[in-house]
Amino acid sequence: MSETKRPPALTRRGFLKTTGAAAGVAAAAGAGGALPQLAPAQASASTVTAEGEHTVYTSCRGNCGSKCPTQVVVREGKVVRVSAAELPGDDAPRRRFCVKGYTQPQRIYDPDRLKYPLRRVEGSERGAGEWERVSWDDAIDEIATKIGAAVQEYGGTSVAVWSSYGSYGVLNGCMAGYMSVGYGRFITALGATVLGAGADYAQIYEQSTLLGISGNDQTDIVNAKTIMCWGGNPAEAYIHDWQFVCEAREAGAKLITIDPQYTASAMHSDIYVPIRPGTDGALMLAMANYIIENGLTDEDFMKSRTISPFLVKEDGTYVRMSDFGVEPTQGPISSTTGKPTTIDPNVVWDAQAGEARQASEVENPELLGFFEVNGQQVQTVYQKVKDLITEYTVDKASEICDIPAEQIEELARIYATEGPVAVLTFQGLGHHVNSHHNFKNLAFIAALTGNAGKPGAMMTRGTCGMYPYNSKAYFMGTPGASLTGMYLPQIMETGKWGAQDLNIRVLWCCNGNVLSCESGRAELIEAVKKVDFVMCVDVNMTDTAQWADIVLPIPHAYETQDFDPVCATPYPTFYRKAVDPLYESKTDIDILRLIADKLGMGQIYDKTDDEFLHLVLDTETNLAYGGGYQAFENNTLGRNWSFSDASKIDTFKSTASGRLEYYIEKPAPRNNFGQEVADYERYPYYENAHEAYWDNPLREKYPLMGCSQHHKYHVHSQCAYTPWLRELEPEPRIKINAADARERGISQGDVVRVYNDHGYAVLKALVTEGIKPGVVSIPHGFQADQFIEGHTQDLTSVVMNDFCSNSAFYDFLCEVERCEGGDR
Amino acid sequence: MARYAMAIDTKRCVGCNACSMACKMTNNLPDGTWWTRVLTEGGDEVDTPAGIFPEVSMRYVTVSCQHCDNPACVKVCPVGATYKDPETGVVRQDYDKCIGCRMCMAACPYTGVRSFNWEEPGYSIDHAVGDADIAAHQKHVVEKCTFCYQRLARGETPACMDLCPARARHFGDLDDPDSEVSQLVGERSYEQLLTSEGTKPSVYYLV
Repeated sequence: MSETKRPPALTRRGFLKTTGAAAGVAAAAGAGGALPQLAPAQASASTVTAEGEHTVYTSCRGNCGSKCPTQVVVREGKVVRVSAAELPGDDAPRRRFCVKGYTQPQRIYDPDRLKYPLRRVEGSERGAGEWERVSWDDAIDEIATKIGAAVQEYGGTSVAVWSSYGSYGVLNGCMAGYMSVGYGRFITALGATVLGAGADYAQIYEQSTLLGISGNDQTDIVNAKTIMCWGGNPAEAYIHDWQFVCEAREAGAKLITIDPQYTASAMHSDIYVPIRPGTDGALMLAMANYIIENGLTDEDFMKSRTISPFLVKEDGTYVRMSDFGVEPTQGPISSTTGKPTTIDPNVVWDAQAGEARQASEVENPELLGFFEVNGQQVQTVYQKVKDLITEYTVDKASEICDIPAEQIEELARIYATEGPVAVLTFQGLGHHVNSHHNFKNLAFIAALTGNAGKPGAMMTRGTCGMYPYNSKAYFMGTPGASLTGMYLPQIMETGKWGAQDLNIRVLWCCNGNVLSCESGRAELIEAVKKVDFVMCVDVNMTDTAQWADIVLPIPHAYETQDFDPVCATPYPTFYRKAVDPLYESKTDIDILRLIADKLGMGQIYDKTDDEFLHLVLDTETNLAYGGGYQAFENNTLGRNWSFSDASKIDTFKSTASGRLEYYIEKPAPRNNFGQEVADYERYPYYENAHEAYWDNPLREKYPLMGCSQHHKYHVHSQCAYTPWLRELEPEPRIKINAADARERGISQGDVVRVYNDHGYAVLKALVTEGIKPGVVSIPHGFQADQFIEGHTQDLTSVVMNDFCSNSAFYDFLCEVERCEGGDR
Repeated sequence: MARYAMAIDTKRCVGCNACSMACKMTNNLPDGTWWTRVLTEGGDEVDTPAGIFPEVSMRYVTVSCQHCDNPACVKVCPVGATYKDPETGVVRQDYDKCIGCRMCMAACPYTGVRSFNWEEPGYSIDHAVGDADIAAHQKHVVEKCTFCYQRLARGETPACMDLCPARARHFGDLDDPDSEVSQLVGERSYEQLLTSEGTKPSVYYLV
């Protein structure tokens, strides 16, 4: 039969489904002031599907961070359909999915899946791609033998687990490098070395960790009067924010995009600012100077809600009440150290009293000025920072950023006077060696103008919090060194981490594809080659797996039971097995169990997966609020009870001062190996990127500034081969401006070689007017065999900023030339 | 009786292809076949703008069968395989009747909305995905968007409506003045594709 039965006229129920989303947005926007929920809202386990089909609720495990709640339809034991899960009540508008999510049925059954354990053919070179199938018994034997020997001879730290953002599952994932029952217990029992991600750490370390900025909820974007896509691209790279941007615009908000690439966000913008890559920090400081000089500051906000009036000594530390003999008191237990915090209040200069007093007791503190306290010269934070940034005038920034001075002034005026302003940042601001300063600078202009801490005003878009969990379930002891894997070349070269010996003999790669998704691939591969034994667990054969001695297959997300506490929506992910694991795949924790057994430490996994999930989720608080494991039982979408309307606005609760901070009193590097910390790590600052800056003499040889983008058809290297997506975008192409292409004799679709001193890649050219002249963008996520030659990350280097240890993906210069016979 | 139509808000559309992929999955489209696609109005390549940087412009237009009120394809089909469903206004295609002459493809002014299966339809995975009640794809048959007739039959909306991330797509009955589509077409400025052809398409692009 080739036709289906005739439909009735569209039913009222069906019609409501189509309109519900729009109606719900309005409801959410006007729903302020509701009490925090004491019980989780529950989406019922709807299984209204055709005969012989059933629906399972889980989430997409793409590491875009979106964690879209998904309904997976299973027919005859196979996944046949996926859709965005309906979310109940006021959360309905948050329903989310994307082009990549819809390809999940294909990704599960992708011919590219790893099916059974593979071992590098004896005698073949690592990376040569010669594999033989081995049994699980043989694979586990070999791995356990290698780990056992390494630990015996060189100690636990000789085993290193290298991960990224593949999964935050509490059983199988690697949040912060090792935070799961599986990896946490193994690593802490052995005292193994944790090699974490370098990607995104300019933002994570500076903005989230040091400045304590969490951003406002995505639904709050609708309250903005101005939206700045600055380092973020909500129309393509985080598409779930876009509908809220649209809603704000329809209510009259202005949309501004600051980006060297003409993205879909730029396409819809009222103002497009084609900035030179890596110079955003200079633009921010120039805006600050303009705002200050033109009296556009919000002094009430600065006095009451920012650290601006705090007094700071000549050595850069704060004046505190202990300087007046007031004993510090004990504060609440820190969630990071597990120890009580110390409260030693800050001090301001009381204008009326003409003396230094505790900040919380002064209504009208001085914002500017030098004072004498206890015989010491002190000044306000604002005075100090204001004086330190004067160099960055509008004219100077105009030169650095290649933006007209008038446009910088316009941006500053809009930012100061047409708020609340929602700045959508993310990693376009995070991939240079100088990137972390951007987040202090942005916090400074927000502090000057009051563009934070209230509806519609944000410095980034936040999440829906973290589902409370019992992290004690992860620990058997303590890990060895914990640092970013980007230091592997340094460690393999010196055999040291800081002053400590560190002799890495076994490398366990998991939860990520670091040799595709960290910068400096060529140098990382050379370091990997120096390690005795390398193993990799993944769903697909990846660029990283290619360099292993043994590769083990793990299941796709929909074949796994696990829990991810990070709430991208108010609904954390309870991964459920929609279907049994395909082929011979085993979960990470099951692999760890087998190895732990062989090593005689099987007792570290003394519970079943289900029991471990209870242990992690059934905290006293969760249970008291109706949460914990039971809230997710029976295919239920459980809500994060700790996320309320009050959590939607970042009111600086996570900072030590309870105020918006843009000054770091005691800056400590993220990975400490004894490096010097410059004084400028304390305050808003600009310096050139490491390599990609306009005046770099290296531009004579490599005139083009490189960058990449978070592309709509990739989730980093996930989906690299997914056939439906590759029908839309079959191969990598480097974006080059038409004028730059013309100069080099390059026509549309020509094969070109892009190169620098780090390496090269050969791929086709996408000649476009959609990128700033002098800048090229090479796609990220394609695997090595999808390039004609080379790789995106062969153009990048392992050079990081040693304060925040971030992969600096965009910090490279290059040249592009047409290949001989390039029109083939 | 109904006259189904779609309104697509180009001021929201970002050309993400979520609609195309939802369609591809739901209708188990063979490799290489797309019933709805995203076209770039701008430069000479997908996702490139017109103009000289930075004075550039671009727009995305999602295109599938326009389910015309006056369909050119219906008039030319020699066997009645292509017909306008009087109950819904959907332009339908009966695979069993289709003789593969491709006259409909030639007559339709909206190039690319129909495709012809020259070979046995191929799939990169072994089992059929999507809705259980779709018509099986056949060799030597013309196929195109059905407005997800199987879903309309269940009182649902087409798969491309499942979740437009930009909330740019609207579907409903033009004969119902209270429908969202009727309201939007009444209130907003819109464009339609190739109106000069006299096909009276049922897809409205809000501008």
